[in-house]
Amino acid sequence: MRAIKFTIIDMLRCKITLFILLVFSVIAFFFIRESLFFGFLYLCFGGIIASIQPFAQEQQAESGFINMLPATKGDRILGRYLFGLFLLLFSMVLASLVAIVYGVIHPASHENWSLLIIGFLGGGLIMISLQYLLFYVLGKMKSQQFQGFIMMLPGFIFFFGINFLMEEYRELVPAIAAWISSHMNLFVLLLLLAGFVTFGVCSFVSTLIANRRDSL
Amino acid sequence: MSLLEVKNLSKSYNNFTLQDVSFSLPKGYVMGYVGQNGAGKTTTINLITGLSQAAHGMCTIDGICYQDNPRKYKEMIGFIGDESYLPQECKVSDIRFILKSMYTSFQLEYFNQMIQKWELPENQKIVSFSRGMKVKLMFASALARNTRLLILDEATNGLDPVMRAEILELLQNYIEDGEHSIFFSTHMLNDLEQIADYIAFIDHGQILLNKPKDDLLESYVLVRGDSLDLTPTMKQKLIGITSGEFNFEALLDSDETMGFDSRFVMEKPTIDQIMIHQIKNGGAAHACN
Repeated sequence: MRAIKFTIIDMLRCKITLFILLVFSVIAFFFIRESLFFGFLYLCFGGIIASIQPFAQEQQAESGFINMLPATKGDRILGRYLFGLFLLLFSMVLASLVAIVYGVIHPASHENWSLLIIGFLGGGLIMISLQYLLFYVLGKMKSQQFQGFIMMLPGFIFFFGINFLMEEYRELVPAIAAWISSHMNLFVLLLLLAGFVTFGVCSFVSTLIANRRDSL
Repeated sequence: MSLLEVKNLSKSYNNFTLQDVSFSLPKGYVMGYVGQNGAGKTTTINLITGLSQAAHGMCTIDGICYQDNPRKYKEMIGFIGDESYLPQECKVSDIRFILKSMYTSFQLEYFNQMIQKWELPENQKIVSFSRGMKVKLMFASALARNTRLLILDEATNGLDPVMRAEILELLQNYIEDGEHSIFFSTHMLNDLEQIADYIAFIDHGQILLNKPKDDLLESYVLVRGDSLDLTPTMKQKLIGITSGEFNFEALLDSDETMGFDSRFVMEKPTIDQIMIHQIKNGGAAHACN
């Protein structure tokens, strides 16, 4: 329960990110080329990038307020992970709206986008959990510019990495896509399961790390 | 009975070590914690608040230590720092919401009264607040809860005299019932002269002095005179001597005034002067715990 309160605190502090994601959803239309996949990928990238906001905003002086709130470090960290999950869910809701609008504009399109969105939810959750774990492992850095660079890295690797691989192995993509399509339910289920397992493991390890450190 | 009990706290950083810091603060009293920049004041506070973990030693508030029950321990503390620790992008309404949802003892009406009294704008981000407004909001946040111990880290620095007087009055009211205490780290020694009951001096990570304020002020006299009138025996008794071309000023133990006759001027020192002579001028060798 206290973890959710920390999630709400992160939301209060990062209201602007919700508006930024709305902008991402408009731009996502331009990324829809032959498939909705690229539009969803872009929105998932937006969710991952937006989720770094509470880490980027944290300042040492704030330890006197946020870290002094009556809760354990575990509550605080789980709250932060739940905030990441919330942003991802929000960006996937926007992705659904994008798909609906796209369907209205292009009635000929018959992609099964609902499973695709659940797949992105799983994949995005893995990415957000891993990047949060990385931030807790690294802790606060002296150079804010370097810290900013490191924080952006996972999201960019995710987005441009997938784009690069799809371009690099263009001839294999149809075969892979066909295989995934034929095992879509299982594939999406496993991805979602992997996402939640990664979420649980990373938040637990992050708490172990934080418990060994000062909260400054 | 002690509200705050600190025993043998130690903590090491790359170039600083806090060594065996011990003291206790009874219920209903104010302790002034004094020292130079980098002496270890904030490190001690971070250990008391649980923001840092001590290498050795322990700290209890009303018999409870942080590790036993972090939530209850933090509920008992009201902390006000030297710079605004409130999230800069939040508004007063956000802070109210956070306090209300996190603290069981939060008194909404009292908080609202203080916000109105101090005319703090509801819909302005904290980042745009002046230093005085930020301090007021920090005090409102800490005092609108049923805390047991108020910890102030240079909280009154940079405030105008009217605001300072108002804050000091609030602090007096806070300890009035004899159940609350204040641990006050500051450079504003005038404030301590007004409200502190105990004074602890820290230097290079070690407690040099820890005494009731009145005992401390009576323990020493400030001596001034002609350096040429000083005999070697007299010089040995002086604490933290500062010498000009002909004159000197030093601290002297009240029991050691024998031999200092009318050639010397003796007066009651302020906490400021005791601190300067004890710490800055190498009085550590004469320190008593």
